[in-house]
Amino acid sequence: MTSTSLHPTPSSRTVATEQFRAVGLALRTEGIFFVAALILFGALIIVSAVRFAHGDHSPNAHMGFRYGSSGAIPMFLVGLLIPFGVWRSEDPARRSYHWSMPVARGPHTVVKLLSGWGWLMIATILYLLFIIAVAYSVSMITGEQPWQRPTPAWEWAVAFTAPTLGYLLTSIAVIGSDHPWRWIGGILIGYGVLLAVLKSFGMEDIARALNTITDGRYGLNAALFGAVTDGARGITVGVTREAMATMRMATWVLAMPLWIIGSAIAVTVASYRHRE
Amino acid sequence: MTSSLPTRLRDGELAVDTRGLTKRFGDQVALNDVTLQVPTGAVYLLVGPNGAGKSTTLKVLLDLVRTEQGAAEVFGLNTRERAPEVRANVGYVPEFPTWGYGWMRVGRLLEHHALYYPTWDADYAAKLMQKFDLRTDRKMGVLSKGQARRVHLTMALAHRPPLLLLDEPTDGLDPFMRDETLGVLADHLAASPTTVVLSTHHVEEVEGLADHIGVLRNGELRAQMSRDDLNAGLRRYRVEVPDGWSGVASLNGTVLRRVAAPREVQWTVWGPEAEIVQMLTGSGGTVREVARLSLIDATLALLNPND
Repeated sequence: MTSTSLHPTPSSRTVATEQFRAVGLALRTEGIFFVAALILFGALIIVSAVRFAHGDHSPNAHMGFRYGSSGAIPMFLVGLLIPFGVWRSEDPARRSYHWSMPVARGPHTVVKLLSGWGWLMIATILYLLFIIAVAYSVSMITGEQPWQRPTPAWEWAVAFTAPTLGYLLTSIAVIGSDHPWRWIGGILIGYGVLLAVLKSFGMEDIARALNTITDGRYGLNAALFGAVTDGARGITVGVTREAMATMRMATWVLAMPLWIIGSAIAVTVASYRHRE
Repeated sequence: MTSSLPTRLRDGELAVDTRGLTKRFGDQVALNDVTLQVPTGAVYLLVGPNGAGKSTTLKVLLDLVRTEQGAAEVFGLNTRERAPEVRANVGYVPEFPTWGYGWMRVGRLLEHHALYYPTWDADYAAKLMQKFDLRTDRKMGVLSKGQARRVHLTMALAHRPPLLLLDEPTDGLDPFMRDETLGVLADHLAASPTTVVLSTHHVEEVEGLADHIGVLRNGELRAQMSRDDLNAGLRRYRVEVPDGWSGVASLNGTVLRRVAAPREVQWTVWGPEAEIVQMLTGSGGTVREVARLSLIDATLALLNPND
């Protein structure tokens, strides 16, 4: 027992709110670039639409939008890069300020991780609103329908899950390692080299099995965009567009949770690991 | 019986109490069975050469480093099991100036820090910033070592924690700012009841503040005691010796240093003064002077590896 009057720890709500604000501040430069890129891209499309409206096109041309799951690729790339901004100058070897705060270390790391994810989701909403706004602006300028075909709900959802998965995958390396680029680069290069070596030595079966990590039914492409490029499954042969879309959704619904849960577990383990 | 250097304090309430801390980094032993005892309200000076384990000890108290053996308590709270509560009651100034967010402006960093400490005193923080001659609109990453150190001191003091862990707090400061900083620290201790564990190489600067001392060498706590005990037990004896003097068989104390000159020998000894004088006289020497040591001289003697 002590006779000293002890100070309280901060409330969880205060910590969460402040982390969200601080991470937002850390990502300010990236945010400015992101908005600038959207404005630039939007301006280019509007200029094209104006030209189109003035007849500067071939007679059968159309200028309408078709948004699909591959539209999430830019946000997936943003999700891959954002963790470096969230943890700027704070690899595990330099994280002593974050760790010396009066909060349990594991939850504190998770709060920061979630704050970064929160900003990523805000950026994703902004991205989708931008696409919708541009689609309707183009429609108003050209007089055409805003969408060439309706986008299924799951493909809109991909815009949120793909960057989430990218964010989690990079966060594992950024939170768990002092040298995340080495790990990410090493895994990507190692994977590519291993596949090439296996194929060059005629070990096609092993190479195909290994390839399922990215292109299989439960592979990364399936988890990100519902895409299965394994020709042996015959998905792209002899089926209607609607049937293919249904198959892609089914693939995505199975693979996506698997990858997100697995990545979330891995990033939580990295967050709770005591590093000195 | 020989008096050995004390490594345990007498009874009393302890703000910091560690038992048998042992830590290795690879093959290197950073801490070896360290039992640190810091009384509540004390200003405890932790001294030792580079690599002695001072910074590691402070980090253990914040659960930034975990030991293989031993346990530590701060105000009765186990530092590993109740780390957030411990950290809420500690103001920490680390040894390295890159602590904090380099991309953040000083004012925003203080705002960030304040939200983690419910007892943060914003007026006091503003006063400290003024005294330390710091601007809030500059980014942490562009500050000099001394400026960063002053920001860290503000962060450590402004929530008026019951325990301060200061790792080389005046390192990188110019003489004027060093003086100002020590004045601020003295004022703080007078105004707020605080226990301080202070690690520094500039022992002479804190002579007026420190009331306890702990000496670490090669990861081992060689001695810890109050300044009163240090003043009472450590002496330098200047003894005139005759030609062909055969030496003293033994001294009832721990000899920390022995310097021989023609017809004169100086001993720095931890032990009972009267008995040591008697033994020196009995050996044929003439004790010319028995002197107390300044804190810096006492520290050097306690760190002397040749005993």
